[in-house]
Amino acid sequence: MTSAFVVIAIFVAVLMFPPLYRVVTGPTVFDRIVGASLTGTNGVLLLAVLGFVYERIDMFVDLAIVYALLNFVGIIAAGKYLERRRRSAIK
Amino acid sequence: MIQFLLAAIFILGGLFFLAVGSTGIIRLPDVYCRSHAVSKSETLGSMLLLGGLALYHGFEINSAKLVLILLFIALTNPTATHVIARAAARSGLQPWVQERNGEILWSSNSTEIEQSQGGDMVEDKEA
Repeated sequence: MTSAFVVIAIFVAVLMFPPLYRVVTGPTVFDRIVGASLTGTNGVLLLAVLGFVYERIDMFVDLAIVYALLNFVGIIAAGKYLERRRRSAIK
Repeated sequence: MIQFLLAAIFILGGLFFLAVGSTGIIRLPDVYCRSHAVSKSETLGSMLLLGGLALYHGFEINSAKLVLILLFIALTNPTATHVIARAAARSGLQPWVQERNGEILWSSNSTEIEQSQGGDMVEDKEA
């Protein structure tokens, strides 16, 4: 069953690349933040699957919880910071 | 046995919806459309995947932590996307429109279509 989780982990890791492309070539700042949010969520899921791959679920689940918290706080801070600026964030 | 079957179905469905979300973020034309793909499809995919992993693991403390991550993502992922879309709207980013000959065919802001066509939507659908 571990090989099935290896396939799932590779699939989730490949799914982290389209949001990374959006982060690199986003037309606006908000596109980049949306891409960063999606990359972070996929990273949380990848950590949860990696716990099943290495059979160390107790450690990787805690890491995933911390990543989810940091991702949420970072995205909220970036959104609140960009909300105050006018027009300069679009170009 | 039925537990593993349900877990496999949940995990495969979750991977499908994650793929839909990652496709949407490179195919869709606008921040607002992309935040739609991220908030809905990605949240459903994450919930299905984490629920499938918790089902596969069985009744234990780590499954409770997986369900905790599931609830946390279900609460925070649409919230974060909403904050980004609201910041984009408040800093004056206009929604994407599809035009042909000066007529707006499709917009993510539906009031623009009604304004450009005089509020008469029925004739345009028949034509």
